[in-house]
Amino acid sequence: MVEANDSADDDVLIDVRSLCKRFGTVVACEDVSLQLRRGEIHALIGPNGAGKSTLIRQISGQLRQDSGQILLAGKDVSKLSMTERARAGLAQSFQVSMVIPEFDVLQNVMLAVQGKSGSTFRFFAKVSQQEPLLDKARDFLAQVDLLDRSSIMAAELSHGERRKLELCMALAMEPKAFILDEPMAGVGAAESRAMTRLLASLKLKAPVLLVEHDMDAVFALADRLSVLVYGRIIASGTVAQIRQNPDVREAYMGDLEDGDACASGLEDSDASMSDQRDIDASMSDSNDSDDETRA
Amino acid sequence: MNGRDPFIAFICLLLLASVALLALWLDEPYIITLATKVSILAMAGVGLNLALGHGGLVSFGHAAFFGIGGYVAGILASHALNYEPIMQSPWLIEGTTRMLIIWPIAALVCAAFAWLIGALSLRTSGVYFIMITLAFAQMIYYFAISWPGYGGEDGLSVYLRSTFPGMNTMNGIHFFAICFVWLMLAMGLCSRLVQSRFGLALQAARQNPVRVSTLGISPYKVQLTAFVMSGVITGIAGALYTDLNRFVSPSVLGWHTSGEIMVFVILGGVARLAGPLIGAAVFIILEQTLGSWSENWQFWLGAVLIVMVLHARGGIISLLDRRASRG
Repeated sequence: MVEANDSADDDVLIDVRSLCKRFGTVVACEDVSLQLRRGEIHALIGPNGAGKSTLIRQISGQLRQDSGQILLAGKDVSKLSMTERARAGLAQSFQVSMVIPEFDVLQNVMLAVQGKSGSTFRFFAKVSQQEPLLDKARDFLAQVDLLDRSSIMAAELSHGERRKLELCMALAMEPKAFILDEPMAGVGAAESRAMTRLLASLKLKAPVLLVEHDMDAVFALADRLSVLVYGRIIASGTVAQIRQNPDVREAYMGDLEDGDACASGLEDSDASMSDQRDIDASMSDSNDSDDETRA
Repeated sequence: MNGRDPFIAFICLLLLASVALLALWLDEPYIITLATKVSILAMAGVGLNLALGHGGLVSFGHAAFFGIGGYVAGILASHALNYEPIMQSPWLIEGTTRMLIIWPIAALVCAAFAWLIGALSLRTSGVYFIMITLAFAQMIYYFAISWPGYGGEDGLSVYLRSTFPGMNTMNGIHFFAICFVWLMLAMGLCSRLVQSRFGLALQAARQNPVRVSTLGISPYKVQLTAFVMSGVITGIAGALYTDLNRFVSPSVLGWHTSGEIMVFVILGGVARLAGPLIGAAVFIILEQTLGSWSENWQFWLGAVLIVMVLHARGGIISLLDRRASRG
């Protein structure tokens, strides 16, 4: 305990300590500990149904853990509501796009800026005439290259643009840490490069806890990786360490061999199989490139 | 809200005022009374529209606030008119016939009830929210019926309207003016609210409460605040309604009243500034014209509503809008 609270902790923005969560007999999260440090992108990977979303939801406050602790910048937020955690400096984006559909792009971002400044309970002044709020929102839109779309209804945006808008709303909260749940999901190949660049720029503002299925993106972006299988973190470390970790390879290979076993329960076997292929492909890719550099 | 809303609302208010003034000129006091009734009912609708239209909180219990406002006005005035204090010990509390005192008290009492009902009801959503607000309103309705103190089922008569400085409230056009100004205030307030930071959060919470809470804004607090404001506006309309009729009975608390206020909003146009005013006006016109042909005029009201919901989801105001944009 003494060690956990020493000065090095200033660099730990999200500190998850032995988190447990079960649904009936299904253990969705078993003694999970995880740290998100200043300036890093920490990717959380694992087959479908491994409990990534459950873990993310517990950190964001959508789900309450059975036991364990979550610290945000040294402050225990385990018992706070989602709103309070957001106010404490946690910004998130969701697996399924969550924007305010009947608002235009600018209004969506304004809402985020307003949430950050805690100025919601102002009843008379027209929000559309509040220059500081508008300027700030436009500024964030420019950062994600959406400024020219600011008067479009969020519901009418393309999928990729909606993902960008979500990131922009997270940015506009000027958080202490980002939690991004599959920000690249469904983004086309052309847009995914721009998206990767955008994600890379986020960590300059605050560290990112990233759940992502696109392994190319994960290996390009992540400073550290944690691998979650069946609700447990089986390995954690730098990209290179994880690549060489026999447990990880085995867990992924094992899954491949008895795909039926892992398909039982919550998950969709096709999706998890393709994940495995992804990770294998990217692992061998990167191994190849390592060889090349060595040569 | 829509860009043209303030303009449409202005035209509708102008029409209502002209009808009342024309009736004064033609010496038709009954028409003035009807215009007053439209103002009051529209104001009740404006209150509900804030919760239902902008907040997405489909309250089927706004009769509670309309009736409580009405009873507050009735009880205070009847005590004053009968020279009976409301309470003698430990403090002497007397009734009053001064509107300037009645309104704040009605507002406070309605705010307290709206806060209580809202705080519990907002833990649910959707159909459950509709049912729980209905249940609370019915509780208050049955309480009013069974409480003999203020007339019980027979209601409470107030033989004089309450007073307002500088006005003769027993004069139809004077009382119309008071109600009309209240309607304007309520509409002005709602229009500002909806465009404010609070309004932005309220409308966002209707569309995606989870997203709103992840932005650090509590949808519950925002919706509860809107619900209380909504109840207060409807409650003050209720207080005016008692003065209009010089009578208040449990029927204003019944679910019919909740339904009617809802009909004003839906008929006129949900979440539109002038929606409740248009809805209430059309309702009263239908009641007067169809009602003179048949006792069962509500059958025809039902038919109109069905056609509206099927063919003009946005209410009458959207029909006007469509015509305007066509050219």
